[in-house]
Amino acid sequence: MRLSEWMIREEEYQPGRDRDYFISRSFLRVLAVLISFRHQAHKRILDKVPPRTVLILFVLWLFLTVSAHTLAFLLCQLAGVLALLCFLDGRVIRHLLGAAIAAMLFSFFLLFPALFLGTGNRTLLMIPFKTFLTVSSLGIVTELLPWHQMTAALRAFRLPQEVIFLLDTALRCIVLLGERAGEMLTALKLRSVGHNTHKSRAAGGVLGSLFLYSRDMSEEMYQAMVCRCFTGEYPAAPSQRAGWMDAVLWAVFLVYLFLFLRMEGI
Amino acid sequence: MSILVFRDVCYAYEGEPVLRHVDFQAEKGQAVALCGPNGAGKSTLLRMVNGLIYPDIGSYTFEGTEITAARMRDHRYSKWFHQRVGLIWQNPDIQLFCGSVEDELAFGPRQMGLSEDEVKRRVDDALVLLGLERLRRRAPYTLSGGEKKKTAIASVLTMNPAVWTLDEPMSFLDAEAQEWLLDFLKSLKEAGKTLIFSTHESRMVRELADLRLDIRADHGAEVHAV
Amino acid sequence: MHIPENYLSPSTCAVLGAAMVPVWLMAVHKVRREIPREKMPLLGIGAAFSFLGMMFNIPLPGGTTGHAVGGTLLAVLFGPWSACLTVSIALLIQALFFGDGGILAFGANCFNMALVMPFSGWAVYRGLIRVMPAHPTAAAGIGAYVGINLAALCAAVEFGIQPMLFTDAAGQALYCPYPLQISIPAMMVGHLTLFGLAEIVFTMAVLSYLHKTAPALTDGTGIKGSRPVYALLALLIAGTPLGLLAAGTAWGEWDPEELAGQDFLGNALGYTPAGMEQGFSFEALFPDYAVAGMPESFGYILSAVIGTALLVILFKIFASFLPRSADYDAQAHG
Repeated sequence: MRLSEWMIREEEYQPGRDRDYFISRSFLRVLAVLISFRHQAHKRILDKVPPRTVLILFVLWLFLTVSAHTLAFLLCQLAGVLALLCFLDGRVIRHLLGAAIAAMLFSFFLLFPALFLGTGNRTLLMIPFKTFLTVSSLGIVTELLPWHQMTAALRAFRLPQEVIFLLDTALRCIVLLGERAGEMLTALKLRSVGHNTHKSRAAGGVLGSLFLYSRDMSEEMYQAMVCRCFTGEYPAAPSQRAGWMDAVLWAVFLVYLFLFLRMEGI
Repeated sequence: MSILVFRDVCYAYEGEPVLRHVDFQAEKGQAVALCGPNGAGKSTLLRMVNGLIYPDIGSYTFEGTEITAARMRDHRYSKWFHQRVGLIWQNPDIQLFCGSVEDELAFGPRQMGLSEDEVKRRVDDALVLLGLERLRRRAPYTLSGGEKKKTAIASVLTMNPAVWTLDEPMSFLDAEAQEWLLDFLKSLKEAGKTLIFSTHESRMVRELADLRLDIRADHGAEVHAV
Repeated sequence: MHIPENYLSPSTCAVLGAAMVPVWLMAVHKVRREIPREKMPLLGIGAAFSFLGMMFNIPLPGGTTGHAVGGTLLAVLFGPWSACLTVSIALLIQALFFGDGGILAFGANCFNMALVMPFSGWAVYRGLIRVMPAHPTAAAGIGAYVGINLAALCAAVEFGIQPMLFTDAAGQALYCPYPLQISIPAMMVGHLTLFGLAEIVFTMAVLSYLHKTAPALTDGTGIKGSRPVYALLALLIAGTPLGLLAAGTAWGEWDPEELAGQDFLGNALGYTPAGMEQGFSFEALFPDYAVAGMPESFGYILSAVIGTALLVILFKIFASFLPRSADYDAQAHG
């Protein structure tokens, strides 16, 4: 095979100045999301938690948080949230608390003007605190339950099968597409060796081919499901038997309900 | 001076070792074959050669410069480095994002600030060499697997890197195209380019490689002359 | 032994705080280098032990109370530098959230309980273990006794020099009003007897319990808290309301109003030192481990749970910033 003269030559290349932080930055963001989902997908701390009970109790727990009037009860809930957090991985705790504190600060700034309108300090303190509690408990629930279990448990709330199927597929796609996007952005970075006047075009190309890929993927997934006798009907999952974990979770919740009734003076 | 040197490189992902004590060096114009079972760390090693990840212990030196996270944060250096080292991904879809094959090939040289004439010459030469002329206006995603792979190779060729890294280059190619690729890589080697590729094909190792780096399932590695 | 706000002059606090800065830096450096990432959450559990130990108040005839600290225990388990860091963080949580120990006096409290106590206790323990290698638990107990007494002595000296250095025009003390000849005996009587004994019992009981249930922990090879360790923590949390049985206030920890009624100078002091009245004040979330609107004992347990959880979480987060260590020479697993 005959190579052209320039292919044989040693390349003399001195890059000029150009900033391509945009690649590194979007790259990092994609990776962060991806890692959190991937992490979600395998590592389970408590693999015995019954998803349905957890979801039902979580809704009731949030109801208690929202309707509480006394700081004392919220502090009891805080103790519960912190105790559960102790059993999670350090990095997870960091992300989770970061999100919860950010949400708390946000709601605090929203309420800030109320401080001058004389609505009283109590509500001003209480609402950001409640935000913190709800966001961090949600974080713990998503950490305890993998996505696929959560969507399965949603059936307990009588959601239509189509919705659950869509949710399931979407979540799976996020993982696969995220992985794909991470690799494509790395490839783009490797080839971005100089001044790029069309950054948006390159990024658009990545998104475009991702879209095409996802279209192909969903089509193929449907075909693969048809080959496995999928007829459009999603079989209902067998109902789970209640185990000792359900009893423990309900017991803990009843203690909190008792505390709520006592402290709220109902 | 060796073009790249790995000294006692160890690397772990999430606390699990992926490479243990990898020691090897490649001279300019040599071809190194990475062999070993799936999941042994071949792709990880290629990513490290490309400056995408860095050793936890030990060092990786490229043309006398140690490649570290701090070194690669220097944009000028990292761009110069990425031009010197080209990577062909196992799955060519990852690499292609432009509207047409022609644009895909011109992406690298345009970034390097070459004149339009030079860019055109390189694109034309590469298209001819890889037999892609009739596809030049097609969108990459409409191509077949083999054509995509060739487009990906051509898009790196137009940047004329000194070191070629290839992850399972034979996958996606039919027998004829494999024959062609082997021939192409031999020519690159003759032209003084350094090649590092992972492969499962013994023929490729026999005919092309000077060194064989065996990465075992326990992530250790040993070098053999071929 | 927690010196409250305004008992020491700001300059005393500044001096002791400044003395602690290099110690903390050194401790962080040492811990980073010597404690593997996986072992870090264990330090959190250690800090939680110390935190809970300090909630068990013991009454002494005459109305004052005291408690164990566990500084020597931690030094024996994890080394003196780790103990310094963990006790400091336990003290920080107490000062910030529970109003136990002043914010300005934080440096002074750390000097006594996070520097003097673990290092002296550890030195005694190391010395004794050479003499009696068969009884490490006893050596730790004696080290703990020496540690807590030296720490108490330091606190007494810090209290006692205040009236010598800082008085107003009328000769009234600005901060702590008791000179050395009162503060030293008052502090030491308690610590040489009951509180020192409590520290010995706490240290030896926890050590021998861990020795039996989690031997990997005591010989330094373990990297994980095991079920018995958590069980002990839970037991201590549930037991914290016992600390409420001690009705009095620890010597040197009175509220300013309470202080005026103390009669260590022969008759009641009769005034509140000016530096205290106008001093810095900080509103803790749960002052004195109590929560408004719930029974005292329940508030105490709640405080214990929150404090323990915060300590474990803090150390886990700290650990997550460290690089994971991988063993490249172990046999590969698959």
